[in-house]
Amino acid sequence: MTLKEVKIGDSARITQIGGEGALRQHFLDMGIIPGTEITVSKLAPMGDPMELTLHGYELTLRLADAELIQVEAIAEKKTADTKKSEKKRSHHPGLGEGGKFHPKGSGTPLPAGTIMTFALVGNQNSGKTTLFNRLTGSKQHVGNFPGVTVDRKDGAIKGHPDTLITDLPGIYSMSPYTSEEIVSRNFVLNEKPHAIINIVDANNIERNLYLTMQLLELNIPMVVAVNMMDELTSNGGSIDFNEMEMKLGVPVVPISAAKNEGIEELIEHAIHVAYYREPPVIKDFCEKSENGGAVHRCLHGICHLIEDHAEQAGLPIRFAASKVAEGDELIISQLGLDENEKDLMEHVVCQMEKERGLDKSAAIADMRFRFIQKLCDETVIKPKESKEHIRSRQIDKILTGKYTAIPAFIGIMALVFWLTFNVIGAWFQGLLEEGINYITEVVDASLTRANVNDAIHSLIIDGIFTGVGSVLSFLPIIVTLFLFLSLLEDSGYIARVAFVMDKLLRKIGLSGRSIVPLLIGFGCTVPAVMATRTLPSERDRKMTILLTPFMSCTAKLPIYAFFISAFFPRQGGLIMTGLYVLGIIVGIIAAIVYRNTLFRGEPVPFVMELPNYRMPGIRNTAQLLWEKAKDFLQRAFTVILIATIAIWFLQSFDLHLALVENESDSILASISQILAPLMKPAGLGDWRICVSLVSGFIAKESVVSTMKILFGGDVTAFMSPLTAASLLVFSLLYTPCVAAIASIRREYGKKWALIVVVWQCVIAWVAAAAVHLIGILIGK
Amino acid sequence: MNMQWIDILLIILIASSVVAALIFIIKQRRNGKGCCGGCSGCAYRSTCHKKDTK
Repeated sequence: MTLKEVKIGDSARITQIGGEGALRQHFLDMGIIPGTEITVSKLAPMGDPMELTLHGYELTLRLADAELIQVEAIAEKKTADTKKSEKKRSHHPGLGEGGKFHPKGSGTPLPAGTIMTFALVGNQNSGKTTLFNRLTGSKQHVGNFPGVTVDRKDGAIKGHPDTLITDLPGIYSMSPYTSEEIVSRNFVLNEKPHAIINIVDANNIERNLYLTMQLLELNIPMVVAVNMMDELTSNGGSIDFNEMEMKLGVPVVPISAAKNEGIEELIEHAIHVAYYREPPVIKDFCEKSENGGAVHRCLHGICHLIEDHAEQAGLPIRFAASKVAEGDELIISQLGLDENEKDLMEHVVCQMEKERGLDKSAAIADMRFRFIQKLCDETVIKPKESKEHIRSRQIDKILTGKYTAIPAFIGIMALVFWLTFNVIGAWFQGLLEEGINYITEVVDASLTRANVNDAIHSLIIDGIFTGVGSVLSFLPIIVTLFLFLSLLEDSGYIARVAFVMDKLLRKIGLSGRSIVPLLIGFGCTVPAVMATRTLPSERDRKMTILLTPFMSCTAKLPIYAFFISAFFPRQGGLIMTGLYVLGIIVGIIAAIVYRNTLFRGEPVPFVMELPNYRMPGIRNTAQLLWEKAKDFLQRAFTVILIATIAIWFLQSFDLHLALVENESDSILASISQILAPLMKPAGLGDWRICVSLVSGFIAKESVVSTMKILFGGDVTAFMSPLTAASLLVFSLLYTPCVAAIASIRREYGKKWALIVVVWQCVIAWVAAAAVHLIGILIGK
Repeated sequence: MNMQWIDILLIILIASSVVAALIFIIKQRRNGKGCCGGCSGCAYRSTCHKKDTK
């Protein structure tokens, strides 16, 4: 039978893995290999995907992919050995310490003045960025879903200016599956760091060690940092580090990055192995006696056959041999083997497959997991089910429950928006607005008293104070929305949303993983575009990038709030929600169009790990909020300030640089007369509206400040509610700001960035014209 | 146009603020293509700021 047929709560043993290519390799790397026992925990509310437990962690998989995996039923799953109370006292090998490989002070140290480079490598969500922050003292953002880091980050270890450590995106193996994983693999292979710090999650050690074994094959000095030890020990687990160090042949250091425990010892060992160039003692993990030694003989045979090629290509021999056996095309072409040699390899691998009874990829993965299993049996006392996991299961009963998941998601999002716009954010906004008004009045009175020149007076009060002040008052709302989005992200809920929404998103041609960038898009389009790097297929990436502008970003909030308070104060909540929903609906329609035109084909398989829920760290959240507030203030006093002064100038002077009596004679009016006829069918034919919308291309907040300057405060006297409605819809859908377009250009190319600008403007124009037309018809 | 010392002072103040803001924006943009300015708390900062990632 197939895995798809296994009932919820039942366990089965994997007998065969179907599928092909990168997906199959990814299955194997995630520990889905023949012989593994697997339990089906639950199905997503819409019946697909399924959640599985294997090797002590949770994985999600679509039913269509589960159908590729053959299993046999087992009566009862083996429970983890939690006793193992009697332990022999093991000897400390002392790897990575002075006086072991060589007498203290001798060895073959790096030349003086060399900057020691380190790569921080580990599985996704294993705490790499938390450790990076501890090691370097930097303040990189950390989150609780797989794939927060999408590119490398560099920094020096605190107190060691001669070091350079690089935080890499999380990877599950050295067979890259997503574009961010390629970043990590290429860094380790091409930049050849002096040492690797491999971070391993103590609570999920079996799967984490799979990557460790491949890293050891690289023959680069390495330290294994076993993270989250505090959680393991508090749940009754423990690890015999001496024994583990002996078996792995590299220093193994217990740490808790979150609690800053063991970091000094880790730094000492890492610097030692890098400085004295101490490579792993053991690189060979295939047992001669295991399954007739088929894998052992195959790998050793290949090692001899490719030795010269590997040296020429600058690849570690053992690593290259494993990859050749697995059939990694990239490595095979790098080796530059001739046809005879390729034939020879193929025969060697075929013989291994025949003797082992498994295909090449499965046989190599099985060899690694067997070693890990043996190592863990001898060195790890598994904890009882952790408090965090029990709590996660209980929370998930509601948040991913069959009947409760979707209502819970809608409820949580509604609560977030209600608290932001009606309670917390709105209250602070009112307070700040009063403060700004008071300061404006004081300055206005002082300028009048000092008899300041009228033009300068107008520039300060009608230009700077009105423009910058109107944008500044939205600071509390934006910070509050970011607070809630960051809490959702840090708690681990966003990964669940991806699980719950996968089936729904698949209907519009996307995978559940796309929900992460799309939700980030409600904050800002720039990081949303970057977050698409976690998606494993180009098709899904491009399609998600094209959809992010439909998610209304926080910079548009001032526009909505400004017009709602002026024209629709009683229906504020309804209109605000309506705008967000409209953005999503138009996005869905666009996705369906894309799926049937530009992006035919199927979305990528949904293979994702579900992390435990965690309490978001106060420090991390507070720091994020402070940074967001600081950035917003910077924008207000740089981009917005310059824009308001420029708008005031263009509005107050004519082409002969003379002060104008009537604004319609100004430079601004002359320029924008060109745009006005084009916008008239959408009800936005007023030149002042056109100018405001154009200024929004620089920064969306600028729309409000420009309007305030051009309309002189009260817009209701110059605009009808219908125009305001068209304007709101146009603002929601038209081109993202220049920063977002620049990030789309970087990810997708100049041509597509330009297409996004034009396409979004066309959609916005059509939607605004429709609103205008409907409004006129109803009005009649 | 009659100008007093306070007018000149205010013009200098506004002009220097604009210059400072411009320098700030140029410096920020020079660091990375496509930087939105909201980089200090951004998880994807290093994609824009390769050199300045500490």
